[in-house]
Parts: sequence; C-alpha cells; structure tokens
Amino acid sequence: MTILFVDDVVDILEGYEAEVKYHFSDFKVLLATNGQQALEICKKEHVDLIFSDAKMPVMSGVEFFENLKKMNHEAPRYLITGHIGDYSPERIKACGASRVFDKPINFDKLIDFMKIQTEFQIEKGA
Amino acid sequence: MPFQSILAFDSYQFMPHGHCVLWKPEILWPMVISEAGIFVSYAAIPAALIWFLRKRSDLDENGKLIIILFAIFIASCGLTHLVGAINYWNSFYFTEVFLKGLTAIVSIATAIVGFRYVPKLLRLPSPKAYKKMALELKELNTDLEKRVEERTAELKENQARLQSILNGVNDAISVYTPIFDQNGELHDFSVRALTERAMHQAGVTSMTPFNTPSLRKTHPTAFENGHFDRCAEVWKTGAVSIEDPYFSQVFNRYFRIVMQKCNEQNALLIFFSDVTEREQAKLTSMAQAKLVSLGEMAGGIGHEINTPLQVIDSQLRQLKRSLPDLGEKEERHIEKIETTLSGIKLIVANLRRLSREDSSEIKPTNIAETVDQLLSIFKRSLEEKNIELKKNIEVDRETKALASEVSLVQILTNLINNAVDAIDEKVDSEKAFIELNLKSFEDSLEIEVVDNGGGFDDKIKERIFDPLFTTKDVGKGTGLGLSLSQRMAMDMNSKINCQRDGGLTRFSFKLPKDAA
Repeated sequence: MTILFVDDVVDILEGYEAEVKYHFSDFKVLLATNGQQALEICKKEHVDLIFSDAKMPVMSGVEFFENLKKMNHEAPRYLITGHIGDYSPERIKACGASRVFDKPINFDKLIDFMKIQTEFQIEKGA
Repeated sequence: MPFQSILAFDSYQFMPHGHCVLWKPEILWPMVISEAGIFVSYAAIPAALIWFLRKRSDLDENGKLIIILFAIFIASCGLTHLVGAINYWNSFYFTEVFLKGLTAIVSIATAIVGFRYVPKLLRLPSPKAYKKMALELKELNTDLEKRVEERTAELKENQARLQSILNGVNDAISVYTPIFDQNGELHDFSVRALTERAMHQAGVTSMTPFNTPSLRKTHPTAFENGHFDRCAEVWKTGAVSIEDPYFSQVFNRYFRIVMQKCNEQNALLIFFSDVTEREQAKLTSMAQAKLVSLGEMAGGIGHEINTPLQVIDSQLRQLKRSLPDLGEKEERHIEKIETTLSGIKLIVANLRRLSREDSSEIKPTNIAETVDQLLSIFKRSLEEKNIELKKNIEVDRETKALASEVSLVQILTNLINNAVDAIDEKVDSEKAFIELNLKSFEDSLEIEVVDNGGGFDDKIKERIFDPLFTTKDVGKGTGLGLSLSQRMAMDMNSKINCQRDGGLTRFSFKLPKDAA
C-alpha cells in the first residue's frame, strides 16, 4: 500500500513516516511539502491513500484535492489540519475530502484508521 | 354829597348835565342808571381779568400786557361813566376831562398792542382744532397702550417659552461670574445654575452643591484637573471651549462641557451635558471589541501551536520506541511530558472552540463539560496562589442547557477572576478556596461560584453590576466585567445574583435545561 503525506512542515512529515514505518513495515510512504509537489507525485506514481495539510505555500491542500478530482483520482483523501477556518464546508466537501482531522492528530487513532482503510482496500481487491 | 369835598377844586359855576335834559326824569334816570350800571360792570370786568391773570401766570409778556392794559382801559372807562353819572347833578368837568383823557390814552395803547397781538391770537388753535387735537392724542394714546399690551404679552410668551425650554433641556446651564483678586487677576468664579433638570438626573437633590459663591471653596478639584484653567482661557480669549468627556468624581458621571463667554452678562455660560451613557456604551463596546479580537487572536494562536504540538507528540512516541529499557525515573519523566502535552492540547482545543463563530450562538450545551474544561485552565494558577479549588457537579454529563458557550466561559472566567481578586484582599488566615457548584433543578441548571475572600459591603450590593462601578483600586479594575457578564447572562435569559453568606461570597445564575 502506498500512502502519500503532504505538509509544509518537514518535522510533521517525518512524524507520519516514522509512525507508518513502525506499524506497517511493508507500506510505501511518499512525502510532499506542498500541493504542487503532491500533484506531480500523484501523476507519476500509484497512490492508495492521501493525507494532506490544508494551508501550504504554492498550492493548498484543498486546491490539490480539487485537482485530483478533476483528474478523477480514485484514492481516498483526507485533510489533517489546524487551519480549517479558511475554507467553507461546501468547498471542503466538494473537493472530495472524505474527512477532516484536527491537528494535533491522535496518532493511535490515525493508525487504527489506516488499518481499517487497508482492510477495506484489500477487500476491494486493490 | 361826599364827592363834592374831594372834587372841590372843580368850579361849580358850570351847569350840571341834568340841565341839558331839562331834568326830565324819563331821560335823566335811565341815563344815570345806565351809567351806574356800566360803572359797576366796568369795575367787575377788570377784576375778572386780573383774577384770570393771576391764575394764568404762564401767559407770555405780550399777553399779560394786553390783559393789564385792557383791565386799566375798562376800569378807567368805567370811572368816566361814574363821573358822567355824578355830573348830572354836579359839574366836576375837569375830573371828567382828566378821566376821559386817561381812558383815551389807555385805549389807544390797548388798541395798538391788541392789533399787534391779533396775528398771534389767530394762530392759537380754535376750539374745533383743539378738539381735533385732543381726539388725535386720545387715539394715539389708545394705540400706544394697545401696542404696549401686545409687546408685554409677546415678552411674557417668550419668557415662558424660554423657561420651558430650559426646563426640558437635559443640559445643565451655569453662569460663572468671574472674581478678581487685588491685582485684578482672574482667580475664582461664582457659580449659579440656570437649569435644574440635569442636576436632578445626576442625583443632586439640592442646588447648593452646584451653586456657590466660590468655585475654589466648593469644588477645589476643578483647580487641579484643569477645569478652572479652561474657564480662564475662555474668559481671556472669548473662544468657545469644548471638553468632552470630562469625568466628575463628585457626581461619578461623564459630562460634555461647552464653555462660552457671554459678553452681555459679563460672565461665562457653561453647558453641561450628561454623556455617561454614551461613554459607558463606548467603554462597553471597546471591551466587547477587545474580547472579540482576543477571541480571534486566541483562535489564531491556537492554530499556530497545533503544528509544534503534533511534532512534540510524534517525537515523544519515537523516543519511547527507541528506548525500550527505561528505568522508573525515566518512565516518570516521559509520563510527565505526555500529561503536560495533553494539558496543552486541551487548552488549545478550548481556545479554538471559543474562537469559532458558532460558539457564541445559544444552543444546547454540555455545561458540565464546559465547566470542567474551564477549571482545567485555572487549575495551575489557582494552585500557585494557594487557593483550593473545589467543585460539586451534581449534573450528569448528558444533561444539556441552552447557553452560548463563549458567554458561559466569559462569565465564569470573570466570576472566578473576581473571586481571586477578592481573595487577594482577604485578611483572615483561613485557607482560601473557590468553589464551583453545578446543581440541577427541574427546569434549569444553576451554576454558582463561591469564595471566602474579602467580600463587599451590603450597601454597594445594588451597584456592583453597574458599568464603571468597581471596588478595586484605580488601575486594577475597569468596573466593566460584572456589567458585561450580566449583559451576557441576560442575553441567555438568565440573571447573575450575588449574595453574602457569612464569610462567603456567592455569585450564581441559572440556565434553562434543554427540553430535548
């Protein structure tokens, strides 16, 4: 399973990577520091799951998700952010973010969530 | 006859006049009687003229002269008639000649003067003209009286109008009359108020505190805070001065003071408008704006802190994983870091919740949870001040009440801060505590903040919710907290009550339970 994390703070990305590597040793982790970079990755590589921050330079998480929608990208995508106030609930729903997680995220819950996602995807036959 | 002896120098060889008519009685006696009658009337007429003259001493010289001449002329003419009558039996012709001559001279003189005087007499208005003049005068008089009446009525009306305006005016208008010292320098004012209404509204029951023969004696603060200096400036330059706002400690109200010089009265006119409500509204809205911006800032800060929090969290997890054999001491340290981190997360979460728009709405709110979260924020600082924090929550977690979360937190924060300040002023040595009670009633929840601090006088109990009222020292409290809290409580259909209960101070308010 390939998971993409997007956040402009490198320490945060490092944290996600460490958690996933510890709990899911066989997963591939891809990292990006802004929406533009993330979009490039999504065009080039196969991605199963996406977690992104909302407020980032160059391209925000919401814009990134909107672009993915235009591409008809299928991977479930979620926002992890502290700055949700900048975007309207309608826009967030429209860009295809299935859920919004508040920062600081509860890592245990995130891990459980990823476990459920994985099982779901396996069942789907991904 | 006695005359004979007086007029004896006349020769009696002449014939008396009676002879001319041959002593015929039918001619003699009518003549003599007529002459006698003429004499009598010619004596009376001058007498009348003299009488007239004496009464009308205002006549001019010519008039007097004519009347005198006329009197003499008639008198002497009368005498000639008398002698004429006498000479019917006597022959006092020399006397007769003398008198006749005299009469001729006087009558000529009278005629001359008379003729000279006729034009002047002609100029005197005729009785008809006099009547006309008198009538005109009367008309003018009546007209004048009417105009005076009208003017007086107008004046009265204006005065009444002015008085009713003054009475209706909310301003106080005072007249400051300058008082000069020996060197001619302006050094004091005497004050007289023209209107009373504003005084009464400000709670001044008698005019004496305001009216005074010496501003210096009755209101010495006016000389310390610049009020007198401004008045003196206006007096000197004649410019209008506006002081707004001016806080009067005597009345504990804010005024707008307009000062101008009134040259006609040789004094200053001072207009005081009570602008306390305006200032209160200003202060309240400033405080509210501050709260709003603080809320926004808190929200912003909260957002910014979240990222570093997550970093610390993930680093801690990685640290724990990379150090499997931790001693007890190290474990405790890591645990401490974890719990502290949780505490910070909670504080930040609360800040974020408060800054969100919808949290000021009144909706079913979990009061117990809000109270718990609030107390967690205060826990630390209360511990540091050595204040015990007690809480009695008799409400289960499921029960909701209709409230605005933001308001609830602000009210409780205000009450707890006040309790802390009251404890600062505590004099006894008993252990200080703040107690938060949450009680459930049939239709409502009651929230109560209790402290055993310094408390307040029963006398001021009514005023503690007034804006601007504070028992704290100057600079320590704005006096706005409780009034704002009360306002917020009222917006939630609630009311904050306060009570002194022995050594305890209790502030409480009820919120309606959510019917659902």
